[in-house]
Parts: sequence; C-alpha cells; structure tokens
Amino acid sequence: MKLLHKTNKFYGVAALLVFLMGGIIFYFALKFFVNNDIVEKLYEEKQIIEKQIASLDSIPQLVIISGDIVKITKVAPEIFTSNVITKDTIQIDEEEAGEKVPSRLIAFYAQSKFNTYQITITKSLVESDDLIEVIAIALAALIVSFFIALYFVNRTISKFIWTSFYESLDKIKQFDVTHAKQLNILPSDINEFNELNKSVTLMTDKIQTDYKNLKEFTENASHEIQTPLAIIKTKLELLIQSESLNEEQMVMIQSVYDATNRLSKLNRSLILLSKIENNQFGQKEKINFSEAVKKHIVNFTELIEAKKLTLNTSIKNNIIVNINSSLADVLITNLITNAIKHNNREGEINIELTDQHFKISNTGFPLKNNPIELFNRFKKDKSSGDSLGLGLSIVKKIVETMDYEVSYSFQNNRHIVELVFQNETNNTNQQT
Amino acid sequence: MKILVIEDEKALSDSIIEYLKQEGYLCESAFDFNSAYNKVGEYDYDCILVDITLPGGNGLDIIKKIKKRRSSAGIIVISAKNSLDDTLLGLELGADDYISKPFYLSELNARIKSLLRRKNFEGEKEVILNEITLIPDMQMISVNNQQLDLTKKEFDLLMYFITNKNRVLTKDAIAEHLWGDNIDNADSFDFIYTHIKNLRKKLIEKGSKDYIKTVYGMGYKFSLE
Repeated sequence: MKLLHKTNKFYGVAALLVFLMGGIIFYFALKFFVNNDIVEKLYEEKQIIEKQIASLDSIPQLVIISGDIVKITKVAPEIFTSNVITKDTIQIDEEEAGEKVPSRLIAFYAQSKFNTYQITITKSLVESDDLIEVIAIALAALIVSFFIALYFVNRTISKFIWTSFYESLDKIKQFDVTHAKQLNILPSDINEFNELNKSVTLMTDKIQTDYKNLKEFTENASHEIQTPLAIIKTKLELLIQSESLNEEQMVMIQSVYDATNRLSKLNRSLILLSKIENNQFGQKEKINFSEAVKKHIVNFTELIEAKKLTLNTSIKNNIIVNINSSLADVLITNLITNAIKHNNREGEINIELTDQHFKISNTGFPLKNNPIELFNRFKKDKSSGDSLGLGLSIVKKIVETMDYEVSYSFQNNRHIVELVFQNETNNTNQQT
Repeated sequence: MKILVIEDEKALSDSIIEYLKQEGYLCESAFDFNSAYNKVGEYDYDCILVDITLPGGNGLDIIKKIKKRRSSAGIIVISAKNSLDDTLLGLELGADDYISKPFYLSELNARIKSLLRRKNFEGEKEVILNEITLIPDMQMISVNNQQLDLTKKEFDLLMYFITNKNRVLTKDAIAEHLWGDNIDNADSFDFIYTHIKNLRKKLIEKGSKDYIKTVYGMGYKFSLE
C-alpha cells in the first residue's frame, strides 16, 4: 500500500470519528440551546401575561404572541400554586388538516386581586426543528466537501513533498556497486529526507570502498600467484625431461602438474573476469561476427569430429557486432567448447547466427542444478566433472560489456544458450 | 644464437635458461632494469625476452632502447600481469610476440624458434629433420621427398614436436598450443591422442621412422634417439 493511501486512510477514519462525535454533540447542544431559548421565551410571555393580569385584573384579550396558542381559564382561587409546568406535547393543527405539530407548553397560575387564572401557552416547535435540520444538512455538506478537499490537498502536498524522496529512491535503485560512480543525491529541504540521504550515501560509500578493496585484493592475489605458478610449471616441465624418473615418480609428477595447470587456468580465468569487470580491455570495434564464428568453428572441427558430433550451422554473413576482438574470441570459444564438452557422444550442435541472435544449442542431459545459477561463478552442474565453472560467467560478463542479453534454456533435450542482439537496426545498417 | 632473458624472478629465469641452453642457445640473464638496460646497450642478441615489471624500471623502456639502437633482435614480451595494455604497448613499440605467465617452456621455445625463423629470412625457410622437410610458411611437408597431406592441426602438431624434439611435451602444453589458452577442456586430450595416432600413421606410411613416443602418464616425445 502506498504511503499516501495509508495516511489518507488513517486521516479519513480519524476525521470520520471526530466529525461523527462532533456532529452528535453539536446536534444535541443545538437542540438544548434552542429548547432553552423556547423555554425562555415562554417564561417571558408568562411574565407579560402575569403583569397584564395583575394590573388589569382581566383576561388580557390582547395577548397575541405570534404563532402561540394561549389558553386562559378562570379557576377557583384555592387551586392556585406558584408551580410552573413546562412540557412537550403534540398539538393538533386544525387548519392544516389535523397535522400533528410537536410543541412545548407552559402551564401556570396567575392571580389578580379578584380572580385566579390557569394559563397555558403552547409554542410550536416546527420552526426550530426545521432550523436544526437545515443546520445539520449544511454541516454534513461541509464535512463531505472537507473530506474531498482534504483528499486532494493531501495528494498534492504529498506529491510535492515526496518528490525529492522519489528522486533519491531512483538514484538508489540505479546504484551499482561495480561502478565507481558515487551515489549523488541532491539535498532536500526536508530534514528527515536529508538524514536518510546522508545515511544512505555513507552506507553506499562504505560499500563501494569495501568492494574496491576486496576487488583489488583479489586482483593482486591473482597477479601475485602468477609468478610462483610460472616457476612451479617450468620447474616441473624441466623435471619431466629427466630420463632417470621411474613410472611411480612420473605418476606423482603428473598429479602435481595437473593440479598446477588447473590452478593456473583458474587463476587466468579469474584475472580475465576481473579485467572484463574493470573494463581493462581496449576499445570496442565493429567486428565481423560471422567471420569470427566461422573461424572458431574451423578451429574446433577436429574436436567435434572426434566426439562424433553432428554440427549444423546457419550463419548469416556480415553480421557486425561492436565488441573488443579478444573478448569476442573468448566468448565464441567458451560457447563452442561448452557445447562440445556438455554433449552426448554422437550428439548434435546447432549454431545459428542471424541479425537478431547468436544461438548455440547442443544435445545433452538436463541439468541437475538451477539453470539460473549457471551464469554465476563456480556454479557448475554436478555432472560436469572437472570443469572450472567459470566459462558461462565469463560469457555473461562479456555480454554485459556489449549491452546484450544472454539466456539459457533446456528444450527437447537440448541446452540452448542464446545471445540476443538488441540494436538490430544497428546491425542491418552496418551490412554492406 | 644469443638470447637475453630479462626476468626478475631468479627461479623462473633459471628454468628458462636451462631449457634454452639444452636447445643449444647461448643465454644471458638480467634480473633488474639497470643491468638489462646496460646489456641491451652494449651487446647484440638474436632474441630478447623482456618481463614488463622489473625492479627499478619498466620493461617497455628496454624495448624502446633496443629499438633505438636499431638492433635486429627479436623481442618477446613476458607479460607478468597478463596485462593486455602493456602487451599491446609492447607490440606497438616493436616487440615481435608476447607470452603470458604462467607459460609452458615448450611453448616459449616454439615462439622463439618461430621468431628467429621469421627474422632470418635468408635461407632458413625450411626445417629439415632427417627424412622430414617442413616449410612452415607454406604449411608444406615432405617425407623422403614425397609430399604429405596434413590437416592444419596435424601440421602445427608436428611442427611443435620438431621444435621441441627430444623433449617430453605434456598434453596440456599441446592442447594449449593447438587450441589456445581459452580452452578449458579435458576432452581435448582425446583428440590429441587421435591426432597423434593419425600423424604417426601418415608419417610411417611415407617411410618415416616412428619418432613420436608416448611418455607414460605425461604426454609425448619426438625422439631422435
């Protein structure tokens, strides 16, 4: 749920509660005050009538109070009390076809020198009820428009306020530890965001430094390993020239030699990977990928034949690809050797190059591991014996420098590695 | 043939020199920049192996110095850091070839021989070994004056054997020589076996002696003894 929706929800619920409570309180308060007012008016009228009766000693004929019904009846003086009764009643309005009208009445006794009267004044409540109704409706309308306004204002404000946050978020999303580019977040005028930006920047700077140190360490280690490896290798090579070695010694030397070679290949691959990552390869150039692929296929013909593999090729001429030529060699060699290595005996290899893609597929057994991991370093299928597990991660790194995509799939008992060229138009333009 | 080995790792330098001496070369060594710089300034060599990273200076400056003297020496860069930039720069400055550490001595030997053959274009176009005659530039071979058809890989293989005759060549060294150092493929050993079998058969058919011997576990040897 978006933050805006969440806050709006809380605001909405809170406002609804407040308005509901407020509305109820307001309604009763209003009613109370209006009632009071009516009672006060009734008392005022009572005073006027009492005065009249006291001074004139007659039933005041002229007591006309708008809308009110005044009943005065002469009673025996003994019943006189000073008690006053006020209560709500229903009046039947004969003029309006017997409609029931909610009313309030006041009943009291008034005395002159000679007579005692019982007086009731009835006041219709219709008008005041109408008033309350109108006020309530107006209030409800106000609340609804307040809600709508609140929603839009909130949306506008949050859009405005969160802009810098989203900008930062975008930058963080684009942050790539393998690039030296620093996370450059613009300062915001909101303190909380600035705090956040500061912490994130600090953190990414630290990650970058750590990554750089680690990378440098790996590189240095790889480079430093080269010389001792070279010494071991050459000494072993000299040692095996010796005529005096017996078979047992030869076998032992062979194991050392194999292990050294493995180590040296591993080291070489790691250096290659870090060089690709560091963009230490020279300029990219437009190379004729079709010719390069054909050249490498020829180089591996004997390997393919020896394993009794059937090779099917469909290579469109003059496909131009923008890539460093040494990397192109590594890329194509890795893909072809993979297809040979992970193949069945008497299997098949299909190599297809078009404007859109470069696809190598080969027969083989399905992978036991997760295919996605294939492109990770040292991830190799359990069945693939003594391979280093670096071939495809090198392929992936190279493809990344070209801004193309590489994917693996397994269909119809075939391993398919596909390299998709995105800028097809670029390729076709280059063709002559 | 005089070769100068400029390499600061003494153990490595010793190995190189030992291997090359057995090939009949006169070898000298230089372990740091200054002695190397002086040596290339004073003496003439047929081939100079230069390590780029040296104590006291950069191997590239030594290449510049050699070129300034208009020396005809062949130059092979030994790139310690597998650094392509340095290697390319070395080639631009006039080095003839490069080899990256760790390398096979047999491969280094093949590079030196090939370089010397290219440098001395007078005469030595052919490589003759008893009844076998090879013309590397034309990929031609004859045995007892009969032309022999070999595939490119078979030719390269034979050439590699003859260059390193009487040496044990390991399967790894042969694989790397034939298919380059990008190959990470144990399968290639099977092909080497197949290739060698075919090559032997073709040579023997034309009346050549069976020179190629299997060295148990390790590899093969082109043996004249």
